[in-house]
Amino acid sequence: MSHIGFIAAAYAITAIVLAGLVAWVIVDGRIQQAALGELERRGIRRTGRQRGGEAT
Amino acid sequence: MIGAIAMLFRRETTLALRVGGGAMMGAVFFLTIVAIMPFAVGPDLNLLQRIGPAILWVGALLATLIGLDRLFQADHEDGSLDLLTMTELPLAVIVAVKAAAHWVTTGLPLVIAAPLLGLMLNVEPAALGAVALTLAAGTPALTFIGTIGAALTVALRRGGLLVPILILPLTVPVLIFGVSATNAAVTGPMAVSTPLTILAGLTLLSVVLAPIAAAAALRLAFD
Amino acid sequence: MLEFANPTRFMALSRSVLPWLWAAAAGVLAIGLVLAFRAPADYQQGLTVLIMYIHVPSAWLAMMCYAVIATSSVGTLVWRHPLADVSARAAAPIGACFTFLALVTGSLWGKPMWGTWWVWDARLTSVLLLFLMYLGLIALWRAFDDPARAARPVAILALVGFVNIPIIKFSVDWWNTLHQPASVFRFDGPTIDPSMLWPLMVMAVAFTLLFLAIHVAAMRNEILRRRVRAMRVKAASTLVPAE
Repeated sequence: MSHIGFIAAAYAITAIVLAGLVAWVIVDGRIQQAALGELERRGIRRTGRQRGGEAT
Repeated sequence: MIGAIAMLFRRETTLALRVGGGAMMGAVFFLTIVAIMPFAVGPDLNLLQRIGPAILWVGALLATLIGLDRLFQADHEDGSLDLLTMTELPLAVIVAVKAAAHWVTTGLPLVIAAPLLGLMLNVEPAALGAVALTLAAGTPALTFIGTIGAALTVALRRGGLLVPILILPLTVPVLIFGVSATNAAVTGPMAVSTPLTILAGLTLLSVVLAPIAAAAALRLAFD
Repeated sequence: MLEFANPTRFMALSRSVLPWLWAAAAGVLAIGLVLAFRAPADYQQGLTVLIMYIHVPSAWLAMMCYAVIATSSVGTLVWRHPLADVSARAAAPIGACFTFLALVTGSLWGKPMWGTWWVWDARLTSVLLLFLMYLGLIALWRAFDDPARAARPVAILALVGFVNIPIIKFSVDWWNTLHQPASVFRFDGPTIDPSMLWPLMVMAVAFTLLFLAIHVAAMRNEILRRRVRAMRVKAASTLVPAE
């Protein structure tokens, strides 16, 4: 059936978009965790005093 | 309170009609759109007659959207908006009056220009009055719905195309019934009343509800 | 509900729930796909009915996602729930994606069925407008420098849009009957054979679970992102070189 192409395309694009969403959520999570880790390493706190008087 | 409303209305219309007020720009833009359409679709008068109502409505919609940023922007920037909120008038009423004045200075010229532009689009002279009537019934809805978008973006500096993007989907019902009513008016005795009534209903609904939503949005800009 | 109000508690709770959500989504999706491919071909549409098993759930999710955003918006405006706008912000791109999928799969279904890539029927057109409304929400969010400040304007826009949805649906339906094409397009006929209903339902559940998993994960990311931003702002404002 010539319609196979359309079916395949529909499933393919669905897979790509959904996989892309999942990937975005996972990668974004890693990026935020990394940024958070970096900031904590530099001694920056969300509340309260900063550590020491050192400028970075 | 009536006195305050009248004064606000007069202030709005006076400011809009002054040089730099931008009131008549909407009508000129309307004319421009109608004028360039034949370059895009060809000068075939039959075709133009068929899509004439659509051109008129899309032109009216775009012209309304273009002019919306002057509704709150200038007042917000120079602080008059803050002063207005300190008067006795509820913010929703202030928004409604500003929107009404905006329609009178921007929408009403479109309604007046429409019959002339309709002639350019080969609309039958007998139907021109009805065309103006349908636009008069529907353009207030466009203005009032647009007010919500203007209120949401008043504090943003990079507003730009944001207001049309936000507002256009919400104006689709007005567009649908407006074109339908205008079509009915143009192509003959088919009942104009149904779409026209619904159009009027949409206008009334937006006149009542939009100022409330817009006032809520404006208050956020004051925080 | 109140115990979720604390972002820290939400982070802890979601961390334990999330793996199960992913697993459930993957599992049900697998079952659904098997059921779909084993279901009989439609007597009218042949194998192309397979597209229905992803098009219809996508459309349902597109609408459900907006309902989530609308509910979150009420939470933001009425109760100032701290996680409400995080929920809405996280849901918007997901909803936009499902809406996009509904449109594209609808288009790919329409071409072999009715010969055109795009059909201006009431349903597809309404979905197109929904897509534009999602884009509008995302655009408004990104226009604000501080995401927390964007929460309430976007909530207002979302609710205005939500109220508008029945009006839009009514208008587009009315418009569609006005311009009625020769045949009536019905993606799912008045009665769906049970052999097709089950795979459809399972796929719908699978998509819903997938949405929940992605949504919760995205909410976690958004909370982290705001923490990062707050810390950077604080760092920038306190790192003053000693004279």
